[in-house]
Amino acid sequence: MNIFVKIERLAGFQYRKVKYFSVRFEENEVNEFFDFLNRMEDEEDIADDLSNLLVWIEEIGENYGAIKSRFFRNESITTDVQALPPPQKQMEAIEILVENIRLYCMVANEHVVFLFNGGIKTTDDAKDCPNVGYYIKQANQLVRKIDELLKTKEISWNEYQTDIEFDEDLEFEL
Amino acid sequence: MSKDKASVAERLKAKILPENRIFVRKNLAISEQVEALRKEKGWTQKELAQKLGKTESEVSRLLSGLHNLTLKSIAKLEAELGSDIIVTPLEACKKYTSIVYVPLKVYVPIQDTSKELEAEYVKESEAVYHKFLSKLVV
Repeated sequence: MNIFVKIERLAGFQYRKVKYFSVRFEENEVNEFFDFLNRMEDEEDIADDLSNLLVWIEEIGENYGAIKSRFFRNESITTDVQALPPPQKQMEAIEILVENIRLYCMVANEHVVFLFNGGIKTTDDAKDCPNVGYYIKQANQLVRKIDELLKTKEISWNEYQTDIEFDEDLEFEL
Repeated sequence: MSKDKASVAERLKAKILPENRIFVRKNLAISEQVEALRKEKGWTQKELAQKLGKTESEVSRLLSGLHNLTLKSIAKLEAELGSDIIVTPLEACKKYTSIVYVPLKVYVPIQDTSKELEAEYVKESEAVYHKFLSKLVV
């Protein structure tokens, strides 16, 4: 069964150099990034790592910009091992790591980042992990859809490609 | 009472401690310094990884700004890059504080010979000044 997904601008995460976004599934109360935060909130062992992650999101947003080659894990997390490498211009899901926490995202460019969901990794290979495996697959599907919307200009760039614009009713099927 | 799911970010941001900010800021500053030194050396990220005996992915993780860098890792980076990455304020004072006399151009129109002398003085002053500037750059 397909579900409808809406893009949300993350109001408390709009910085000088990076604007952060997430997606919300129609049946959910909150977007995927907030769902991740809610699930992590009561995990006392990772409270410090979660705080570091939030500061990092702010620092990258305010002072550095989302430079893919430097701050984001330079490793593909495609779920299909048989798949050929994606063509040059195709976007990929990327992971942000803080110790065992994995947060999956899409770096559209240095100024626009989509934060999805994630969790605490419990296996060597994240793809096999019962906590995060599902979110890797989900992130890859979301990236493909958002990339399409950028190409068809249903999500459009502003003049200097520092932000995106889209209809607030825009939704897509996953 | 259940928590308001929509205000989770505010709740978590309120829990951020000063040491979390210091940790991430210093971490990113180190990453920035390593990147500047790498570029100065003309090395690719792959070359830096090879010199450190790590994979590109490991170095990327090390310098993401979120990794708990050990002093050993920083020492290895400093050794390979041949330069300081972190300097304490006391070290910085010892290294960079000194009295430097900067020659100034002074025009003293006294006698007929002054023009010749002045030209000579300006030439000499400029040479000393440029030498001083080049030291500053180093």
